[in-house]
Amino acid sequence: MAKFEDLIKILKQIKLTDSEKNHSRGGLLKFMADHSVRTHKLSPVPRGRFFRLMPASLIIALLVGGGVSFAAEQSLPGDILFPVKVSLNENIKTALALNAESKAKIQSALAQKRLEEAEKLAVQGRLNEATKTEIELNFANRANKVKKIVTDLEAKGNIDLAAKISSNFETALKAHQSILISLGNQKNIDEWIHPIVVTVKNHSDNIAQSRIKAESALRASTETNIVSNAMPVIGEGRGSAQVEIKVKNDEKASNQFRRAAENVRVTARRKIQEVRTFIERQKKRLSAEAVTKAEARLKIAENIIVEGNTRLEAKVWGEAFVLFQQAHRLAQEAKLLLEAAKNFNIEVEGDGQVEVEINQEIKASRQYIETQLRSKIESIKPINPMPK
Amino acid sequence: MDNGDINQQFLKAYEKLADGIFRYCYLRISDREKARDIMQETFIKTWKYLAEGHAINNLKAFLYRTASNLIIDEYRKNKTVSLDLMREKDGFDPVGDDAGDIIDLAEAQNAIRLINKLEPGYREIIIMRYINDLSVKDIAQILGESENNVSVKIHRGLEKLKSLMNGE
Repeated sequence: MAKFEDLIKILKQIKLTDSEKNHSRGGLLKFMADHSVRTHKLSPVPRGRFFRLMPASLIIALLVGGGVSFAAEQSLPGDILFPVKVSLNENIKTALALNAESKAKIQSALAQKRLEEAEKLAVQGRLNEATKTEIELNFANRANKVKKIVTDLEAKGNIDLAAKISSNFETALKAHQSILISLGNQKNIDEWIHPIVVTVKNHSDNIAQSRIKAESALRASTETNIVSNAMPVIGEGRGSAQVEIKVKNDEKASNQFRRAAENVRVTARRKIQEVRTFIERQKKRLSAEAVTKAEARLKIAENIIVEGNTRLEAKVWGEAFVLFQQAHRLAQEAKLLLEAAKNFNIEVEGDGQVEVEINQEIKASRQYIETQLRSKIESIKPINPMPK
Repeated sequence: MDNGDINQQFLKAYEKLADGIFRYCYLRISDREKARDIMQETFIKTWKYLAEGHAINNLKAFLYRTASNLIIDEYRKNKTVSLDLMREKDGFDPVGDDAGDIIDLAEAQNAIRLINKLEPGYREIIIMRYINDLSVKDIAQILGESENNVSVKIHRGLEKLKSLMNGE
């Protein structure tokens, strides 16, 4: 055996043949199917500790695959199948997520699912101490996991992904907060809704801090671009005016942030389009007012994208990223509020906070760039030529 | 994600990881048929575990760990397996029946013989790191050891393997 690399290359070629792989897949599929509920019939059962009384093997047989697992998906807190949904279906979903982004997406989707359940229960008049507590605990558990993923990403320096995840989650939480408040007022069930709203608010404030932190880190890391692009280095020759500008020209990082900003722009545009299609399809089931409000939000989102484009042209990637992210948040908020309007037949105002924040951000962003440039221009003072 | 999606996701993981798990088993027990059975059993056991409602943080590491435990059970059943005896048997066939002529049988057998000369602890780690391209972090999780320990073993195993190669 001549070389280590050759040895590894040869051994890497050991694999299953197509027929072996198919054969084993068949066995696996059979196992998965054999444990499907389709081979069992569910008899009516009393509410209560149903699953605790069943032998483990039967529980698996009932739960894996097919009907019960699917039926459990539709269950709400307080239903017999709800524990199946939370402990089986959802654990499988989280186990199958292989990277931080998909893990965060699933945990965030599951946290939002709890809030949607709270909203459904509120509409059905089934929110009580038990269901409220179940929702709060389960929601907090998922929300903490999202926060943990974001914190880990920040620690690893993956700030653009941290910013993206926290921004999406924050927007979703704020929209649900508004929906819950509207439902609470409408149904006069503030007693149960209020504690959930408080929990959601705590988590949305918490994740908002992560977003703000990640966004300022993004801005700081691309700050040098503003100066280097605006002020070409003057006179490098001996004796001429020396200009001292510290520019960290880390091309790799710069490319990474540019790509990140461009990606968010794509996602934001896609989201806007998604909302427009939603409006188009659901127009009959939506009130004119809800549609007008959503369209106004989309218009602002589009304007922000235009604003973001100017930052991209100026190569201020961090600023562009933050603006595109905001456009995405507005479109996402529009979609969530429209869905609530459609599902619960309620008008949700939204807390208007996203718009306020966006206006502030744009203003701050413009001021920031101006100040940076001014201070750099002022710092350029001709110094005496070096003695020859 | 409904139940159909979950099945699909798990099967996707099978498509992606089955060859690696099989290779890992095969290089440790030198029996194609048994390696295939253990690979299949690995996925079945993992599915069952998920179906019982347990959470798995790192699916890849979990699969390898399950495979490793099944291999140990197999060792216990058969005590020690002589490689020379295995080679005489039909089971010792790194190339499947319909694999065509992608790999040279004699070369593959030589390579396997060489890697089998490594002590089991090092062999397992070298297979995972270099042949199956697992990260040090994943290996540490599979073996339940610290990443530091794993790195040291990789380094030593590599030296041993290289000196074995030079000895040939």
